[in-house]
Formats: sequence, C-alpha cells, structure tokens
Amino acid sequence: MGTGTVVMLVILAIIVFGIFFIVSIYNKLIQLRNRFKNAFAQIDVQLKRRYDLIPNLVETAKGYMKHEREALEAVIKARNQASGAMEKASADPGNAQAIQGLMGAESALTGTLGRLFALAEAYPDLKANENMMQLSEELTATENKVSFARQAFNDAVMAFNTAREVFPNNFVAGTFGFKEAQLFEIKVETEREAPKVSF
Amino acid sequence: MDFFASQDAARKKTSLLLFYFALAVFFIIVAIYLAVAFFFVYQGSKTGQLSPTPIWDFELFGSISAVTLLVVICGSLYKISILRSGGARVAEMLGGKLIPVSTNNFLEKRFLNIVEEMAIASGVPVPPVYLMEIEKGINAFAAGFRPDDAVIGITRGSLETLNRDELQGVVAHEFSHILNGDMWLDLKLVGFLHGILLIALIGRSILRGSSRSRNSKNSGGAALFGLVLVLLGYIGVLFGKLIKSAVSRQREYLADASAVQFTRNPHGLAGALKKIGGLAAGSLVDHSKAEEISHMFFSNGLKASWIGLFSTHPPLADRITRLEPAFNGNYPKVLRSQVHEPDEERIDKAKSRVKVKQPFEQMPKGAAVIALAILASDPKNITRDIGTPLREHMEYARQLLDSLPTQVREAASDPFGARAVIYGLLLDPDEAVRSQQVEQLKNAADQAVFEATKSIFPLMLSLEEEMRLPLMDLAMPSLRSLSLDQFRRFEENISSLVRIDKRVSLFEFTLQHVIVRRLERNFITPPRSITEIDSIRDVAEEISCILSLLANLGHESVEASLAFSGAAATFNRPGSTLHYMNREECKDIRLADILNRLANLSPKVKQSLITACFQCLVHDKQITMKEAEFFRLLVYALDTPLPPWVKI
Repeated sequence: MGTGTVVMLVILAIIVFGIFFIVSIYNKLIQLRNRFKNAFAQIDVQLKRRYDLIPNLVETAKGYMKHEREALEAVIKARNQASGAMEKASADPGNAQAIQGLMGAESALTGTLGRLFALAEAYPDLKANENMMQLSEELTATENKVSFARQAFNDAVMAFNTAREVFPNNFVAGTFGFKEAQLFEIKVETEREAPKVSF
Repeated sequence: MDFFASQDAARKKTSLLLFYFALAVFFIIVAIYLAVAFFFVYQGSKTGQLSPTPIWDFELFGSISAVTLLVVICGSLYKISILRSGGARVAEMLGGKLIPVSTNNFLEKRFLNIVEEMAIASGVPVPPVYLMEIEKGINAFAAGFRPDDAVIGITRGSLETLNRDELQGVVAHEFSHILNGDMWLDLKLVGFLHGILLIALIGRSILRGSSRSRNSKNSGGAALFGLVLVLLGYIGVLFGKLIKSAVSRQREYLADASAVQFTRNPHGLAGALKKIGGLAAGSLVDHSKAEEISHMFFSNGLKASWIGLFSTHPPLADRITRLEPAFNGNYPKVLRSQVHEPDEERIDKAKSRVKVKQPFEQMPKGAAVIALAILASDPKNITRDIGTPLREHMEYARQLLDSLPTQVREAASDPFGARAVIYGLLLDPDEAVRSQQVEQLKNAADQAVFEATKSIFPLMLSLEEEMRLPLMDLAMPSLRSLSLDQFRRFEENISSLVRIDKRVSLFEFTLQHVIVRRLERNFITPPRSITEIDSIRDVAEEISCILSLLANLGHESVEASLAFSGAAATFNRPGSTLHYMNREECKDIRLADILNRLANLSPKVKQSLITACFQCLVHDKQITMKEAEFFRLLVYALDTPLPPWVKI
C-alpha cells in the first residue's frame, strides 16, 4: 500500500473513532436523562396518591372544624394548584420551570396542611375519629414515600447534571441541547415534625 | 427442546448467521471494488490517458476491503453495544415509559401482576415493564441480553383491549422469547444488519454531499460512487432482512407453542391474535425505530409487507389456526370504546378475595414439596423443567402471591417499603440477635424505613420458609429504582445485618449475593466481552467446591463423599479432575468468587453442572430446606430459570 492510502486509512480511523466517541457520550447522556425521568414517575405516583387523600381528609375534618372554613379551603386550593403543577411537571420532568412550579405548589400545600393539623389539635373529637387517624397515618406514609422517591430523583438529576457539565461532554450536551435539570426540593418554613410511632 | 438446548441452539445459529453475513460483506467488497476500478477506467478514458490501473489491483482491493470491513464492523459493534447494555435501552428507544411498580392504575397494575406471576412461575427475575403510551395497536415485545436484564414492553392498546387470559397469553409468548434465547439471536441479527446498513448510509451522505457541490470536477464520479454504495448497501440489507425474517418467523411459531405449553390455554393467545385481526389499529407500532426491532414484537409491528418473505411474523390466520384448528378466518370487530370491561376489576378482586380464603396449607410445605417433586421427576430430567413453566407453576405462583399478607405485598411493590421487606427477611428469629440487628437498623437505616420494617416484621414471621426467596424476587423490580447513593446505603445495611451475629447463614448469603449482583448491574455496565467457559476442566476446582459443599449440606461424612462421587459420575468424562473436600475444607471456600466465575459457563456446561448438583441433592432421597436453598442460589447465580418446585 502506498503512503497516501495509509495516511488516508489513519485519518479515516481517527474520524470513525471521533464519531464513536461523540455517539457514546450522547448515548450516555440520553441514558442518564431517561433514568431521572423514570425516577420522576415514582414521585408522580405517590403525589397523586397524596392528592387523592387530601379531599377525604378535608371532608372528614369539615364535620368537626366548622369554624376553620378558611384553613380548609386553603388546603383544597393548594391541593388543586399542586395537582395542576404536577401534571405539567410529569409531562416533561426535564423542564426546569415545570419542576420549580411544582416545588412551589408542593411547599405551599405542605404549609397549609401543617397549619390544618396544628388547628386540628384543638379538636380532640376529630383527633379520635378513626377515619381521621387512618387518613393522617396514610398521609404520613405517603409523605415518607414521596421524600424517598424525591431523593432518588435528585440523585439521578445530579448524576445527569454532572455528566452534562464535565469535559468533554459539555460540548456534546451544548450541541444537542441537553438542558440542565432541576432538583426537586421542598422548602417549608416550619420544619416538619418527624412522625412519631411507638412500638 | 429444553432450556439449555435452545440457548445453545441460539448461539449456534448465531455463528451460521455470522457466516451468511460474512458472505454478504465479501460480495459487497467485491462489488465496491469493481465499481471503483470501473470508475478509474472511466476517469482515465475521459482525461485521454490510458488507465494506469490493471483491472485486478491488489493494493486497491486491500484498502477497499479494509475500509469496508472497518465500516461494517464498527457499525455492528456500535449497535450491539447499545443493545447489550440491556433491554431498558431498547424500550426507551421505542418511547416506552417505565410503569412504576407502585402504580395505582388498574390496567397497569393488572398487567404487572400477570408479569409477576409469570416470572415467579418460570423462575426468572421479575422484569421491569415499559408502557408505550401512545400506541393504539395491540403489541408487546421482550428485549434484553440475558433473562436478568430483560424488560417487557406493552402498548396502551393491548392494556385496554385484551382481557386477563389474553394478556397472559401475550406475556407467556414474550417470556418464551426470553427463555428460548431469542434475545441473544436478536441482538446479533440487528447488529450485523446495522453494519451493512451503514454502507448504504455513507453512500447516501456522499450522494447528498456531491449534489450540493455540483460544480466541482469530481462530483459526477463521487455521486456515482455514492449511488453504488447506496445500491449495494440496500441490496445487502435486503438480503440481511430476508435472513432475519426467515429466522424470526420460525421463532414466532416456537414462542407461540411454548406460550401454550406454559399456560395450557391456547384460547387466551388465540383470542389476543383475533383481537389484533379485528382491531382497526391492528398490531401497528407507530414509531420510527419500530422497524429496527420489528422481529422482537408479539405480532407484526409494521404495515403488511408486499411479499410474505420480508414479514418478520407469520400471517395472523396461520398462527391462530395452529392454536385453534377450527378457526374460520373471521375476526369479530373490536372497537376500543367497547372493549374496556369495567366488570373485570370487580371479578379480579372477588377472585383474589376467594383465593386468600383458601388455606395455603393445601399446598405441600417445605421439604415435602421437594420430596414430592422428586418422586414425580427422574433426577436426570431436572434440566427438562428449566425454562418450561407449566400451568401448575403459574397457579402455584398465583396462590403464593395471594397468600402473602396484603401489607407485605404492597410494601414489596414500592421502593420505599421494599427495603423494609428485605430487612425483615434478614431479621433473625433468635431474640438476642434480633435486638442487636434492630439496634443497628435504628442507627443506620432511614427512620421511616425502620418504622416500616417494625410494622411488617410480625406479618413476615408467619411466612413459610419457601416463600422467602420468591418474596425477594417480588421486591426486586421496585428496588431497581433506587438511586446509586440509596443503593449503597441499602447494601451497607444489608451487609451489617447479615454480619451482626458473626456468622453468615446460607439464606443470608443468598439474599445478599443475589440482590447486590442484580442491582449493581443498574449502575455498572457489565464487562465488555465475557468469553463463555466451555469446558468442565477449566472450572474443575470451582465445581469440586460446589459439589462438596452441596454433599456436606445434606449428608453425613461417608454419605457425603458417596453423594459427591455419584454427582461427579454424571459428567461425561468422569473427572479425575474433580476432588472431594470434607466438611472442614469446605469452610475455606470463597463462595462469591466461585459463583461469579461459574456465571460465565456456556449453556451446555451449566446443564451438566445442574444435573450433577441435582444428583447430589437426591442421593439420600431427601432434600432439606438448606439443600434446596443452596440449589436455588446456584440456579440464580447461573441465570437459570428454574420454576418453583411443585407436585406435578
């Protein structure tokens, strides 16, 4: 073979290698993105469960807390907003704005729920209601599941964001429009009380 | 055909396919060479000087074959590497979304239940299920490289249109693809085809490039060259597809037949096929990537091809007639709005309520189960059972699932509670050890998981011993959704629970080994090329260890050595290479390393190893729970789908 052919072959090999390299980075990013999107589905299921429980809770509480109409309405309103925000977020968990919207709505909902439970302290009959006890127990369990699923989601988002930023992946990510994903965090002014269960 | 034979046949078929494709590539190279040589002659005649190249130029031929081979091999390797990385990638490529195990949607939940039953009945890990949300047709697929990274995909149309029996038929069909080694074949088929396709793709981009720069001198020649590449590439692909379709059609008949064998209900599968015929959307999958894996589907995912030769699936009517010879060729019209059966949920629920009331004691328990199974089957036929779950296994699986306390089952199908289930399995029946473990969990594990463990542990005390491993299997899909950090912490907790009493029981070892091995694959891609070990001599040391351990588990001193030699004698060349180790020596065995190495055995060697182990197991006509569990561990580690033992 002549020198020309050899040089050509070498150049070709380098090009092929380069393409492979880029493709493998691209695939890795896709894989990581799918992973966090799948992780969001777990949150989605639990949040839906939570949104389904809340109207029942309010319904039960309504009979006892006649004078706390405002608080009850605030919970329902926050629940509806959160439910809408979640629909948006679950359509595209990679959309940072949608996730931020959900974060805001969730924080608000958790806040109003906390207030409702604080008010409920003043109604011993309500606290003793079996339905209420069951609902709040289930709500606590669901919240535990949400926070666990959130942690898994955030880990996956973190892995994606890191992979997106390191060299040389950042060039590939930039070229193919891999946007930074948003962590899902809930900030509530009052620290939530850890659930107390004794055995 | 038994499991090992079909796994082996799939590999053999791969080498035959490889040969065909090599032949195709060779012809393509020759054709490209002729085209290039012709091009030079043409170029020479145009410029007036005579061609300097004789018609047979080895140098030119050499470089052309080098380039072509490079392209084809790169293309194949690339595609194979993508498919190899697990079924999840394929499912995601097709726009599938993972169904969360904790889903509240009835249709999704029912499908997951069917998949769980089938998985437990056939002894493969419960595969994750992906839903193709926007597909209206009835279709499904199985993808993945090995049974333990397989996934099942299903269209929304199937969930809404099919009833439970029909879905079970579809799932059984997909499972038999997994068990027949079809996924291995698929992988190679798609990979080889892609290599040849790449030639056509390169030709196309040359063609496009040259049409853009019309005024350059060589563009005419380049365009011609591009055209030749496109033509050759597509002709190659055409032949490749012929091979692919022919192979695929045979595998479909086989899968249908095995599905009926599993469910013993041809009408379920036939019903699903009939609904495909009667539904306007049929079995179409409307995704641009659907063509690539068309042969993995349950039924034709593409528009009917103009000739049957290119169809990856046999004609519907043909498949139905094989299942129901009386089929008259009429498909009752199915409208999607009619098909949703709201009553079914109630029936399903009612059924399970009745089932729970049936005492599980009707099933023979523990060691009794196994003893009965042995009376029924000749020891040498043990491998016949592998990969062929029967109706009995399916019923057993369903009864087993139904007999689980609801709370435990719910916990297992949720990533949060699944950890509690595993911790609960590891808690020692001994009070003193358990309190230490509880203390440990309290400090190291998540507070809420700790509470959950506490609340379900009392329920788990009542579980039969033989239900512990299926319960672990059940928890697996939800554990897969742990993130890496969560998995690490989980792994640490398991290991400290196991080690707290300074000794590792067989069950604890099994649980830890299987969980870690399966979940690790989520995060770490397995090593690139695992060469299969094809000779017993290469693993004589490992096999000696396994057989000696097994012999000592179930037998006393002299009997143990007799059991060992009985087992060793089942190998074709009774090995002077195998040596017996007594109980003391067995203590130094590093089981985890051995199991990892044995996982790389070829199907044939696995088969003889399992036969030998089973011979050892039944030496004294008695199988203890420990022996049975060790045998389970072994089949888990060998990725071998052994159905649960039931009386047949």
